[in-house]
Parts: sequence; C-alpha cells; structure tokens
Amino acid sequence: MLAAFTPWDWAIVVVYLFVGTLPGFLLRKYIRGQAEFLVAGRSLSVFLATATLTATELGLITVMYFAQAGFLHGFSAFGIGLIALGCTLFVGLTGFMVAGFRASGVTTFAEYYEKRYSRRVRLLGGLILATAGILNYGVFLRVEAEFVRIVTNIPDMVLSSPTHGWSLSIPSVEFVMTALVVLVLGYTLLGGMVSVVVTDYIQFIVLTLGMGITTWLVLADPQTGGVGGIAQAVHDYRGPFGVNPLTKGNWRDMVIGLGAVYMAWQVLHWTASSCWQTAAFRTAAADSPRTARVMWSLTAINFFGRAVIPMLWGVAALAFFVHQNIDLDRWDSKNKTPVAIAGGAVPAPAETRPGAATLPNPSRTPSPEQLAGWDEKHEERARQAMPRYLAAILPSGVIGLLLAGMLAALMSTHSAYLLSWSGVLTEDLVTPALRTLGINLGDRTRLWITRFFILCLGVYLVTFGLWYKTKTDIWTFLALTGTMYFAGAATLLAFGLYWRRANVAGAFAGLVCGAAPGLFNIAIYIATLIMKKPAPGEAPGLIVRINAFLSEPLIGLISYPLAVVGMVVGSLLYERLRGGGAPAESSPTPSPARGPAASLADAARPEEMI
Amino acid sequence: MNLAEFWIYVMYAAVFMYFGLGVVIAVGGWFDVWRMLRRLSAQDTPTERKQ
Repeated sequence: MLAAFTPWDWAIVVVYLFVGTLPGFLLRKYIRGQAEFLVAGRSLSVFLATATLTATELGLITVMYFAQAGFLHGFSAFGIGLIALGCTLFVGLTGFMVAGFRASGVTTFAEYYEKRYSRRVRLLGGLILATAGILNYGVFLRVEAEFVRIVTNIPDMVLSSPTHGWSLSIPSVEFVMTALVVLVLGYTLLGGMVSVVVTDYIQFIVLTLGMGITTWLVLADPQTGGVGGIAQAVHDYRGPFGVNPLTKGNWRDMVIGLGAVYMAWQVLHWTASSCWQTAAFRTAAADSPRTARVMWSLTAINFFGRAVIPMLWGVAALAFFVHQNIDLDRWDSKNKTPVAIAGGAVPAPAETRPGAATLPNPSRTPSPEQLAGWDEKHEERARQAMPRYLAAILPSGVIGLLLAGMLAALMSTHSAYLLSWSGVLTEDLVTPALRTLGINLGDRTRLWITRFFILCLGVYLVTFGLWYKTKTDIWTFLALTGTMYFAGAATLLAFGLYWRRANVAGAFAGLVCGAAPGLFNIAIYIATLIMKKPAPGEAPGLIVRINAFLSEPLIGLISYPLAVVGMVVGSLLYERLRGGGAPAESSPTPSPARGPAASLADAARPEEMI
Repeated sequence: MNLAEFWIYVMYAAVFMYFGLGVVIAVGGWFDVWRMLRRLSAQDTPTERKQ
C-alpha cells in the first residue's frame, strides 16, 4: 500500500484551507478594541477554550518532536505524556496559578508583574518573554516544511527559457509554506483572537479527525506486526532505554535514554506550562476563573494524547523500518524503495512474533543491535522517520486528510503565536516604555501597533525560519531560551499569588536567577564554538568538559529552584534592608516593598476569589 | 505485567481519552462558538469587564 500524494489528496487540502479559514476573515466585525483583539472580550466557555488551547499547543512541530521522541526512546517517551497528564491535571483541579492569573484580570504575564511588583519588572519580564518566545518560534516553519516535503514529495518548480539560456528553480515547499503563513497572517490581522478562536475550533476538529484515522491505520498496520510487533521492535532495538524512562546511558559521545534528571525537569516544565504566553492568553480569555480551571483539567487529557499519539506513530515507524529491514539513510522517499540494512537481522514474520505480555524486561546492558543506529545522524533520521513511515502506509485520501489535519495544527499554532508575541511586544514593551516617558497610547493605537507587530513577525518567521539557512546548530540555544523564561515566570506568578512577602527585589532576583543557568550555558556553548578543537588524543579543555556536563535537562532542572531561591532571598533581604516585617494579612494598604499595585493582586488571591 | 505491557495500557488510555474528549469538545464547542459571538454582539461580557 505505497500511495503517492494524488490530486484527490490535494483537493482535500485545498477544500480544508478554504472552509477552515473563511470564517476567520468574516469575523473582523467583532473587533472593536484591544480587549476583543487579544482575548476575545474574555468570553470563552469551557469547550471552546479547551479546543483553542489544544489546537494552539498541538502544532505540526509538536507532532514532529514527539514522534521523534517515540522513535528514539521507544515506550519510555510515553512517560513524558504521563507527566503531562498528572501535572496539568494538578494545575486544573487546584487552580494553581491559572485561577489567580485569570482573576487578576490581566492579559499577559508581564502585565501581572506590573500589577504585583513594578513597571520595571514588567519591562524586564516582557523582554525575556518576547526574546525567548520569538526565538523559539523562529524555527517552527523549517521543521514543519520537512514534514510537508516528505509526505507530499512536491518537486521544485523550474522556470526556464532555452532560447535565452536561463533557468530558475523555485523550492515548492518553501513557496507553499510561505503562502500558508500569508493566509494565517490575513485572518489573524483582521479578526485577532475572535478569528483565531473560531478557526482553532475548526482546526481542532480537522486535526483530531486526521489523527484518529491515522492512529487507527497505524495500530492495524500488518507491516509493523501490530502492537506485539511494535513491542518486539522496542525490546530488540531500544532495550532497557526503550521501556524504563529513568534509565540513561552513554554511547561514544551521545546520551541514550531519558534518565531521572530529564523526567524531574519534565515535572517542573509541565507544571509551569500554563505560564507560556500562548496558553496564558487562553486562560485570560476564559469567561471566569472557574472556566479556566475546568479548561486546564480537560486540557490535561489533551496534553496526554498530544504527546502519546505522535509518540506511538514514532514507535510504529521504528517497528516498520526494522521489521521491513529498511535502511532509513538510503530510503528513497520518491519511489519508496526499501533498501535492506547491511547485515541487519531479518525479523520473524508478523504472525509468529510474540505479544507484549510474553516479552521479558530487557537486560540493563544494551546489545550491539540497540546501539547500531546511534550515530551523529540519529536525531535527523528519527525526525524524518515518522513522516516517511506515514507516507508509505497511508492510502490516497487518508494522506490528504492527514496533511489537512497537520496543516490545521500548523495554522492554529502560528495564529496563536503571532497574536501572543505581538501582544507582548505591544502591551509589555512599547506601551509601558512610552508610559514611562509620559506618553499614553489609546486603545485603537495599541490595536494597530499589535497588527504591525503581527506583520513583522510573519516576515521574520518566513525569512529566519524558512528561507534563511542557519550555519550553526541553534537547537540547543532555542531549547534553553524556553526554560530561561519558564523558570522565572512560574516563580514570579506563584509567589506573587501565594506569598505576601514577595516584593520587587525578589521579582528581579527570581527573573535573573531563572534565566542565569541558560545564559551561562549559552555562553559556554558559544565559547566551545569559538575555541580551537583539541587534536586527536589530546584531553578536552575545561570549557569543553563543562559544556559536556551541562546537559539541557540539568540546566532546566536547576533553573527552577534557583529562581525560587532568588525570589525568597531577594524578598527577605529587601524587606530586612527596609526595616519592615511581613505585611499584615488584612492590611488594605500595600507595603512599599510590595509595589504600588500589590492590592490588585490581593484581590486575585484564590482563597478570596473562589 | 511487564514494562512493555504497562506502556501499551498507557498508550490505549491516551488514545481513548483523547479521541473521546475530542468528540465531546467538538459538540460542546459548537454551542460555545455561538455563545461567544452572541456575547460579543451584545457586549454582554463577564463581570470584570463591567468593572
């Protein structure tokens, strides 16, 4: 069943693009000011809020990375999904941070910083938030284009004139992706959050349908040997690292498996995930704090599926390629020609493979087969495995529906990110900076500034993320910027809501300490790029050893407690230096140390609100 | 139950929970879209907006 991407598949995609985005263009009449444009007038009920949050956080890039994790780490990757479920459910059921954030009536995180701490904290927080978010966002399109290229196999357009002796090759995928961004820019610029929410709802339905049919076909695929065959592949080719997420090992200079530090980092990451600005906009747009809590409780289930389902596709891709004895490096995606792995073990026929229940837990020592695929290209190979597998097994029609679903995921994420980061730039950097200079911007002016930033971000996304070819590996850098923001943001919000003694000094210290490990790691990483590489046999220098020791999970894990220490020590020291004690619980006047707007945050305390 | 079996149960749980909730959200979301548009038309937004 090796189907090509047929005109019928393209027809499904084009129909979806028309039907799915048209409402977005028709809803501009509801935009009267910044409140409607950024948070849809705070009018979202539970199901719509959950749909838009899920569609936003489930992008094509998410599917690619979780599938890559499934291919690399086997069943162990599902552990990330379980953590996502547990931590998000905790946030939803308790209202931890989200209820207080919604009740405070703010739109962005940095706006909360001003209400609770000071305007300068808002400016610093807004700067970190915008930098981290926009840099992360910049690379989405490149990975997404990889999926579209593999699934559709579009050839580049070649324009030539034999009489004049010139020819021009236009990369088709880049052209298609640029057209998609222009489409998203159109309805986001016109209808803001109202358009984004309605199109998100349609996109949620399309992507769920596409994912559902694909998952069913993956589970029923005889070429992987079904669930038993998938378990067998994980057992044979991933060994202990494929079933135990707490196990980690080293092979040459690479890390295999996830490990306890990684999983601990994930616990903090998922608990703080409500602080990501795109998610925070949905919390702010909910029609009440109670809706925000229910939305996060339901989103826990969606986050669980959002992680595990693409991971399942990734694990199934592993089973497909090893059972079919295909060398992924030599896989001809155009002709879908299987090329046998040199010397690879021929697997047992599907009908004779044992079920998962009969498999013993693998030994802690990996076998040569389990380590064979771990070389310098293994991450790229793992990223491309899932789309190559789906392009090979899905019949015509279904593959069009899958692409429509994935484009829906792409568009919902991009519209949300365009709106979020432009909102942050307007509300947290431009407006407070001008207010400091005595210039107050009106509602309509801020609306047009936000639209201007949406346009700028669209240009940045297409140039930096798609057409610009980066010369260095920036993935490490981008992953760290996310943590740099999360650690400080979650600490400032949680302590601002639940600790009365949190103050301006603690807020600055928390933001700086949360970002410091990531900044230090980036500095060390850049130093290793600049330094001369050691000759063969020569011992690596101190900088290289520090860089090797500071893994992303470790940096992520220490950023959170460091931000907490910064907040507590900073607040207590400032309080002591000013000679004041803790403010009285019932004091109606905020202490100077807590900032002029602390009384607003007092009104947002969960115990008074619920 | 071995580890592989445990993860397969987790996988099925995720699949059924996600798609089950997907159906509920698709139905409930339809009514919520119209509710949101009615609120925006009438400027009948929740409490703190009036404040």
